[in-house]
Amino acid sequence: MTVTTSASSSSFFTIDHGTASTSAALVGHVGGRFRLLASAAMPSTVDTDSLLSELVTRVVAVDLAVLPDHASWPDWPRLEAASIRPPRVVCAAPDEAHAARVARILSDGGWEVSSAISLDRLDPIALTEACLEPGMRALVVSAPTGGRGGARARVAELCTLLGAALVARVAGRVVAAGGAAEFRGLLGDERVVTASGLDEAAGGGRQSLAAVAAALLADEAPRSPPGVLLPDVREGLRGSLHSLAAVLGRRVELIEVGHSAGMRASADGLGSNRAVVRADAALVPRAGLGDDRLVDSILRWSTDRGDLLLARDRIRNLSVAPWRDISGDGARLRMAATRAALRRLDAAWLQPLDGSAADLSERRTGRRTGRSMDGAIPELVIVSGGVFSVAPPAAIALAVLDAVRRPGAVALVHDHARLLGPLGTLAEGPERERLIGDLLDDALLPLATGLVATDTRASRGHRLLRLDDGGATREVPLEPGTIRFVELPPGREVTAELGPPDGAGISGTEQHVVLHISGGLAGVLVDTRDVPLRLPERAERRRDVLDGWERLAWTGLGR
Amino acid sequence: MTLGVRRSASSAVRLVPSASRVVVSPLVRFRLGVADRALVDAGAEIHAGDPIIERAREPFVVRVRLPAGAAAPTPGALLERGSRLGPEGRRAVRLETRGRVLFVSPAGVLHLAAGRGLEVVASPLAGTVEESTRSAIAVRARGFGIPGILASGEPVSGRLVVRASGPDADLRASSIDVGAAGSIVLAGARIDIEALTRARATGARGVVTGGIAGKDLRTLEASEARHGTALHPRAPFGLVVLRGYGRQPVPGPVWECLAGAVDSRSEAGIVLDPPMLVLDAPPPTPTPTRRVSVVGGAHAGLDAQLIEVLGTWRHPAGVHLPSARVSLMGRRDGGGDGGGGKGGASDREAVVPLAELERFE
Repeated sequence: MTVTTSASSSSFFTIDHGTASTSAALVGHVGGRFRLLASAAMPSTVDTDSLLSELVTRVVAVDLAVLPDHASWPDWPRLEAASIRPPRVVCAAPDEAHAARVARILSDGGWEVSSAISLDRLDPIALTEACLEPGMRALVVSAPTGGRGGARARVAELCTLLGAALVARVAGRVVAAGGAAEFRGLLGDERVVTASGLDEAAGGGRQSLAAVAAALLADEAPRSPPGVLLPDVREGLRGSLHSLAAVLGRRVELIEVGHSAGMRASADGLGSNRAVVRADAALVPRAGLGDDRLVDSILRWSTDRGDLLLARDRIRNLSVAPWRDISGDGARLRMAATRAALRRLDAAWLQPLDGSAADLSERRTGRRTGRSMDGAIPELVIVSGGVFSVAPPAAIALAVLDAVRRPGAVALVHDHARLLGPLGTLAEGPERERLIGDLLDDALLPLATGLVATDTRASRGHRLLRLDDGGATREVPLEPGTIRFVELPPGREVTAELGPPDGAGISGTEQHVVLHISGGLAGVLVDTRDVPLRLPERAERRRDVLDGWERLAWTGLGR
Repeated sequence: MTLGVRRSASSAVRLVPSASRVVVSPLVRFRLGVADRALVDAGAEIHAGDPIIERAREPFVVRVRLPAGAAAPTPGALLERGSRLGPEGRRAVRLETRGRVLFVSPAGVLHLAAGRGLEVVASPLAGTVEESTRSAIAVRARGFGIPGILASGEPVSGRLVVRASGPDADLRASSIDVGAAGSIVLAGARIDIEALTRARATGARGVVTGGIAGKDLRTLEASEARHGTALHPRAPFGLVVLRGYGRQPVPGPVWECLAGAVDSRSEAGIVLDPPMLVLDAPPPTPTPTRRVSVVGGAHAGLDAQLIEVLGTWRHPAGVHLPSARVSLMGRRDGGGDGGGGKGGASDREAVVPLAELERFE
């Protein structure tokens, strides 16, 4: 859509339809630019028009002059986008290693791989039932290209078997990639889409498997009441990220955790972008309902000292009834699930692109690889998604730094009105960049600047952090293994200096680091804990450590 | 603080999350395994108890090399025992077991899905078959359904009987007797594995409960799986969970629906896809507009009247949420132990996050 700005209708709504929550925002033209006037997030079962009406009502109650034509709000433009619940896909390949690679591509692309089939361990009954499962939305068959003799015969056998299973299936798409494309006739030719092989460049009329999978995913989007396919909100987030990086002239990263999936993306404004969308990075993945190990991996982040079985059920209820246990200790449990999701997302993000262990180590320690932007330290991290809409800013900042750890400074901001997804669905260009530029200050809530310092020991005691705002200077001693929130309001900028205790010169390995940082709702989060974060293995000790950190971030828990 | 925001009663109540109390004429699915056989065709009218599926409890693969000149059977086709493969003559092969064609490999080996332990699955409801395919039978049910969040076991039918003392009570094993034989037992907020086992042992066909502990659910499923492979399987048993894991009070409007079905002695059916209790009765009347149920937090399980929507309110742990002022209605009858009702609380007001309220349509 194109957002019009005529005098009669200079206001519009953005709506992010999540799987568990709907977030709506009212944007108006005030003082020569677009401004965010009101926003709210509610469970997705709340009628959307009621939510929009509520936004208008709130603004009018404060200042009628801002919306002189408010009675016409039902006719105002709506910029809508929707989350796609990861659809289920079955992938198949001649051997397990190839099947695993296909599964990885699909998993990183927002699909939920329900079965990865190979001829290495073939169960015809399980294969047939997997292909006939009502919830399965696509079948992807892939094989190396250029296979001959026995290898080619294996591909033919695999496609014969799958084709037979698909005879009874009328819904769902079929993708034949690489060497499997030759046997598309065995798979039911008319509905088969072909893709290039995993080890060949896209071309010759074929797109890469990742691109084909992305196109099919877009067809799975929810539809608005008239039946129009809604844009994918995560594609919108990528679009906004790209525009933000261009507007700000810096690298930006985005982390989103939702009810059905999680996403991590980065953009540097120079065309280098990356994104992974993972079903297993949801707040509580579907698999967790029946998998105690997954639930227990979430509870490792919880300070709940109650009955383990009750705690497991509370975690499961976050999946089936995500809004039910929302305040008090329910909010902390939700944040524990969020931290676990962030860790799963981080693990997927950090999986080596080329399989080298060294690559992984460099990313974890934050040293720049110089080879690709994927190893670079982000300067701005945006958090988005329904799970963050009900947590205090300090808790969000702590959760992000717990999971996504790099030495250095990072500005953490919150897409609190979930504007970026719908805005990013506008066509790339000046209009989108202008809107994002206008709304930047309103849309992105400064949470905190995170300072992760790992080298905190000095020859004469602990190193010092000095914060100088041009007037007063504050000194913060950096004790290893601690976190500390230092007050610094949003918009205030200071020079942060990390140096030896007496400030005297530079010697040996005692680096003198100077950074220009700004504050946030939670100020500056000074973090001298390990990278990667290490927690005690013993449950009681682990909870004590987590509780000590959380008491700094959650109000009402005492210090 | 409401900032002087004025909302109409109808607009305020529409900010409360809605839930479907009932689904009229729901479409339900019965899955078929690869070795199963549908016994009804599309368009057929069926009643509770009618056979709809012949199920093989233990499917296995049979491999038969096709003789030269034999036409490859169509995938999905059902071949009877004794079927001839290939032209008449010495080289003809006759099947020793009935099976469904999976595929014929390029090397000419026919793979069939056969099954041991054939049993008949009866329909748990009345309705019209809309679709009958190799993978599922879809039936448009008569009456209405009360949706749940999960179901386990087998589709079953029976009269609905109540054994819990109230919608927020736990159902104890001692409350279940042989009088529930042939029935579907309505539990309250929670049922444990001991009560489930007793229900099954006394001949109950199934249980409807607000909540169940995850551990007990897995124990039940493991028990069902073991008995599914036994030489003489037990009568089918079904479970539908309406609200979630652990202790989950059944909201007042839903409980009234169920109680009405008990009183009218309606036939009930438990189905798995979607998880639902289907009742062969006219749909209930809508609930009053401003009546809501509290589904989370300190007042979970209580019904309430919506007084006003307040806007954003600060709640424990510093969480800011859109909230409403409600008038809580007293504890319902029974209030079992285990954290349930304390009985006899008078009406009182509370500020509750909108997300912890539900209104039923």
